[in-house]
Amino acid sequence: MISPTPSRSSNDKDSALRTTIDWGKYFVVTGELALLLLVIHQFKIEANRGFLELSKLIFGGFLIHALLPLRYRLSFFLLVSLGGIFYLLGLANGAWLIGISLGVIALCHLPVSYRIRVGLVVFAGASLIAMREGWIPIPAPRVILPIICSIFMFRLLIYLYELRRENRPVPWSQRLSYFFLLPNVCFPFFPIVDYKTFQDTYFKGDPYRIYQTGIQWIWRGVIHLLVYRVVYYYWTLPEVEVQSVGNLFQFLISNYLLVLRVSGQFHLIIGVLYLFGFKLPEVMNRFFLASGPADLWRRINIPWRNFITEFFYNPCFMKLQARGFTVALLGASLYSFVLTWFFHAYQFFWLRGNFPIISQDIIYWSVFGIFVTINTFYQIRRGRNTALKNKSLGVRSALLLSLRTSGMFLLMSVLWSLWTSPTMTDWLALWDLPAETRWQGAGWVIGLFLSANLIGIIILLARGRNWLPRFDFTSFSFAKSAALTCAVALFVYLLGNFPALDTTASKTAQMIVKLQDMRLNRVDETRLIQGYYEDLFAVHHFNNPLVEMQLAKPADWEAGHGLKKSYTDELLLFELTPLVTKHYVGATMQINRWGMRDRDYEKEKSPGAYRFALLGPSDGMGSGVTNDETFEALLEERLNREQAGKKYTQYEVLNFSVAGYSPFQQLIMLEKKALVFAPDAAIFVAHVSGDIGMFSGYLSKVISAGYDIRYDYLRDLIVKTGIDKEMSEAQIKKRLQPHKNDIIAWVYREMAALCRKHQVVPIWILVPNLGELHSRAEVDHLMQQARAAGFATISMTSVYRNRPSKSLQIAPWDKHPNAEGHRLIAERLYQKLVQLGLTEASGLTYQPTMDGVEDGDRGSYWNMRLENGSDASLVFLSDHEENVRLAINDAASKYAWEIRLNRIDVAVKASQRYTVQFQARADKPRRIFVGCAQAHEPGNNLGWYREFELTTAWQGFSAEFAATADEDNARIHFDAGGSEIAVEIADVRFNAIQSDHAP
Amino acid sequence: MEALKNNVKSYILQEFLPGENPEALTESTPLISGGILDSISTLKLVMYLEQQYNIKIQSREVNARYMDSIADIANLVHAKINNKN
Repeated sequence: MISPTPSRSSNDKDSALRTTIDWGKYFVVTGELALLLLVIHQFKIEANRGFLELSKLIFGGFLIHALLPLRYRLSFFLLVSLGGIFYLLGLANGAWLIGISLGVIALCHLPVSYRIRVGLVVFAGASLIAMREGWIPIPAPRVILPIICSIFMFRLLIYLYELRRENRPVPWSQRLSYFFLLPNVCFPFFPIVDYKTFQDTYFKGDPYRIYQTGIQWIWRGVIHLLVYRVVYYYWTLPEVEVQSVGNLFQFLISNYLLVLRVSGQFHLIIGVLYLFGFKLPEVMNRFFLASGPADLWRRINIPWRNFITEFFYNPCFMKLQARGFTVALLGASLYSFVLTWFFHAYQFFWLRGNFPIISQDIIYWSVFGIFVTINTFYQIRRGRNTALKNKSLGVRSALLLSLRTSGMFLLMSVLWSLWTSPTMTDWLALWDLPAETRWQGAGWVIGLFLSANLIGIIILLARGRNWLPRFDFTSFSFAKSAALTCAVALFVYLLGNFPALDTTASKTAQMIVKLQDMRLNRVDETRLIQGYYEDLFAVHHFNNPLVEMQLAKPADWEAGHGLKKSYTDELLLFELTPLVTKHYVGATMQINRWGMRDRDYEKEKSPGAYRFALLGPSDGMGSGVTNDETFEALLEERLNREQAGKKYTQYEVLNFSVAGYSPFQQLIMLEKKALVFAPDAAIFVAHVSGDIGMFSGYLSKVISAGYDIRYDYLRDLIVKTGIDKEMSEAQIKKRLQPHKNDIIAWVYREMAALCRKHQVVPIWILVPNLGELHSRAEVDHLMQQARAAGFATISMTSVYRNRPSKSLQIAPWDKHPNAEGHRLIAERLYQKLVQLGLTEASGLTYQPTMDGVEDGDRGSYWNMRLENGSDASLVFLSDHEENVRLAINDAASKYAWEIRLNRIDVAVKASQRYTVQFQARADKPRRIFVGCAQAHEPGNNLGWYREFELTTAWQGFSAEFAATADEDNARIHFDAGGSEIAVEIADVRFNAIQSDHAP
Repeated sequence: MEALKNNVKSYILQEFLPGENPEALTESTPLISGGILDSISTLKLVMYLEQQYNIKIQSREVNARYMDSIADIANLVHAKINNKN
C-alpha cells in the first residue's frame, strides 16, 4: 500500500495561490505568450505537424483557463484537448479517435474483476496490433492510428497499474485529461507521462510560476528546434561524402546533434502542459554535457528513465537484493536495458507499424547498458562526486571532468551513428576512408577538440570560483524570468526580420530566411529520390523529417508484385514484365507485349512515321499516373494532333523507361531493346540529383552478383577504386563518390556515341524532381557534360513554374509528378521539340553538332542565381547577348535577392569611382535592386546597392559609386525577386571614371 | 519523528555526502531532484531503512515523489511504521 506523503496534500497557501487571479502577472504571461506565438509563426515551428494551428488554440485556451476557478480547469483543459483533436484532424477523424479511445478507457472501468479488465484491454491491444499490421481491416481512417497508439502505448500500462492501487476518488476530467493531452495530436512521439506524477503535480505551487516555467520550456524547445534546423540544413553530410577524418567527425557530431529535434519537441510538449497547470518533471537536462554513461542515462529522456527505473529496475533490484548487492545491481541493470531495447522497438511498432529487430538496436542498447553498468560500479567503488554546493575544482579535476564530458560526447556520437544507420554495413562503410584523403581535416578535428576542452576547463574553474554567474533560469524571480523571455523573444523576432532589413542580402540574411521553414535537406532529398529508384527506405528513427513524411505511406505502396521480372541482359538487372496489369505507387500500370509501360506498337515503324524512344527512370515510366496520363502518352497524342500529316505521317513515342533505372541501365536498354525498334530520336530523362546514387547502387548489385562487366571504363574504374565483390553497397557508393562526374560524363558519351552509330538523334532532357533545390551551377555542369557528349539538351528546370510541389506530387509521401505534373512536362517538351526543329522542313534528323535551346543556356555575360525555390528563366532579346528578359515564374518570397541576375566579368579597384549605365523596363511598374559585389564566396558587397523604379517604357539609368575593395572577380547584380513581373535589361555599361587630376 | 529525521540525515551524510557540512543539509534539501541521490544511492537508502525500521517500501515509492527530501522520507517511514502497528 502506498503511503501518503506531504507532496500530495495541498496546504492553504497553495490553495489560495491557485484560486487567486493576479491580473498583473496574468497580463505579463499573456504578453510573453503573444510574443512566443509571433516567433512560432515567424519560424513556422513544427508547422508540418500542425503545431502552428494548435498554438492558436493553446494561446486562446490558456487565456480562459487561467481565469477559471480551479474546479473547472481540468474539465476545460479536457475540452480544449478534444477541440484540438477535431481542429487538426477534422470532425470525422476526430470522432473516430475520441470514440475508440473512450472505448479503450471504458474497458478499464467495466464492473468486472481486475483480471478480466486487463484481459479485455490486452484483447483490444491485440486487435489494434492486427489493424496496425493490416491483418484485419481498420474500421477507422488510418491517419488516426499513430495518435491512438501514442496515447495508449505507455499511458495505458501505467494507468492500469495505478488503477488497482487507487485509494481515493479521482474525477473523470482528470482520468480523461491524462489520455487526451493537448499537444499529443501534433506529436505522436510523446514523452512518457507518469499517472501519479500527473495527478500529484497538478497546480502544485504558484500558478504564475508554473506558467512562467512553461514558457521557459517552450522557449527552450523553440531554440533547440532552430539549432536543429541550422545543423540539419548546413552541417549534415550524406554517408557517401565521408571521405576523410574531417568529414567523419562532421558526420558523427552533426548526426548526434540531430537529437535536438526530439529534445525540442519534448520541451514544447512539457511547456504547453505547464500552461495548463501540469507541473511535470524536466524531460531532458543538458544531455550533451553528460560526463559519463550513467550521467547521460540520468539526463537524456528523464521520463523514460523514470518509467524503466520505477516499473522494472527497482522491483527487480528489490527481488534480487537477498542475493547480494552486486547480483541485484547486475540483474536489474541487464533486465532494464533489455526492456529498454524492447520498449523502443514496441514504441516503434505502434508509431510506424513494424517491429524492428535489427542488429544496430541490439548492439546500441547492449553497449550502452554495459557502459552504464560499468560506470555505476565504478561510481559505487570510488564514490559519486556529490556535494550540497558547487565545489571549487582544481585544474586537474577540471581537466578530467572536461575530458570525460568531451569523451562522452564523442562516444555517444559514434554510438548514435550506429543506432541511426540504416544498416550495419552502412555504418561500417562510414569508417572506410580512402588513403589519399584519409587525414584531411585531422588538424581541424584535433584543434576543435583541444579548444572545446580548453573552454570547458576555463568555465569549470571560473564557475567553481564564482567568477561566472550561475544561469539557472528556474530559480529566477517571476519578474526576472519574464524580462528574460521577453528579451529573448524580441531578439529572435528581430533576427527573423533581419533579411527584410538587410538590403545587401548577406549570407546571414539568406541563412535566416532558410531557417524560417522546415523542409528536407540535401541529404534527405537524395535519400527520398534514391528511395524511388532502389525500392529502399531504410531510415528508421523518429526525429527525421523524411521519416515523418513517410509515416502515412501505405505498406504496399511500392509493392507492385510481379511488375518487374529478371533481365534479358544481365546488366539490366530487371525489366518490366510483358502483358501484366499491376497497381504500383497509387496507379494501375499496363505493360505491353514488349515490356514497355505503353500502348502496343508494331516492331516495324510505319512508312513516313517519326519514332522516339524514351529512356528514363520512374518519372519517365510514369509512376503514380495511369498509362494515358504519362507525359510520354500526352506528348505522342499532341504531336499526332498538331503535327501529323505535315513533315511526318505520324509520331510514335515508345516508352522504354523503367522505375529504378540508372543512366547506365538506360544505355543498356537502348542498346538491347530500343534500337531494335529503329527510333529516329532517343530521349534520355536526367535529373540533377539521384542519377549518380542510382548508378552506384546499381554497380554494387552488378559487382555483388558477379556479372561480366563488358565495358573497359567500368573495369578500370573498379580496379582504380579498389572495389571488390565482398564490399557492401555503402562502401562501393563511397568509393565511387569522388568519380561521380567522370562516371556520368562517360555514360553520356556512350549513350550519344551509340545513337550516332545508329543515326539516332540523341536528346537529353533534364526534368527536376519535385521540391528539389538545386543550384544553377549544378544544372549548368550537367548540361555541359551532356552537350560535350553530343546531346541536344533540353533543360526543363522551370517546368513546374508557380506551382507548389504539393499540388503536383502523387501523395504527401511520394514526390513523383501527378497527372498535372506530367501534363506540364508534356507541354514543355512538345514546345522544346518544336523549337529543336521537329516541325521544320528538314525535320529533326541527326546532325553532329546539335545543341539545345533552353533559355538562358547561352549567356556568357550573365548568370542567374535562384534561391529557396524561386524560379525564373532568361530570354535573350536580340542577337546581342547582353540584352535579356528575365521571366519570373515563381518569386518564392518577398526578397529581391532570391532572383539575382549577375553581369559577370567585372573588376574593381578600391576607392576608384565607376559608372553603371543600363536600359531597363518591366511588364508592369515595379522596382529592382542593383549592386556591385564579389562574384565568389562570400559575395561581399563592394560599396554599391540601390533601388531603381522601372516602368513599362524603356528608361536609361545611370549611377556612380566608389568601390570599397580591390576585386578582380566582381559582378553587377540585378535583384528582381519579390515580384513576378518580368524585367528586361539592355545595354549594360560599366566604366571606371577617369579622375580629372590624373596625370 | 525528529529522531527519525536525524537518523536519515546522518546516514545520507555518512554514505553519500562525506565531508559535507551537516548544517547545509536541511530537511527540505532536494535529494533526488537535486542529484544527491541517484537510483543506486536511493536503493541503498531504502535497504537501510527497511532493515533499520523493519518495514517494506514498495518499488513504486522509490522516487522523488516520496523520497525527495529528508522530510518526505521521514513521512514515508513514519506512515509505514504506523501502518504496521
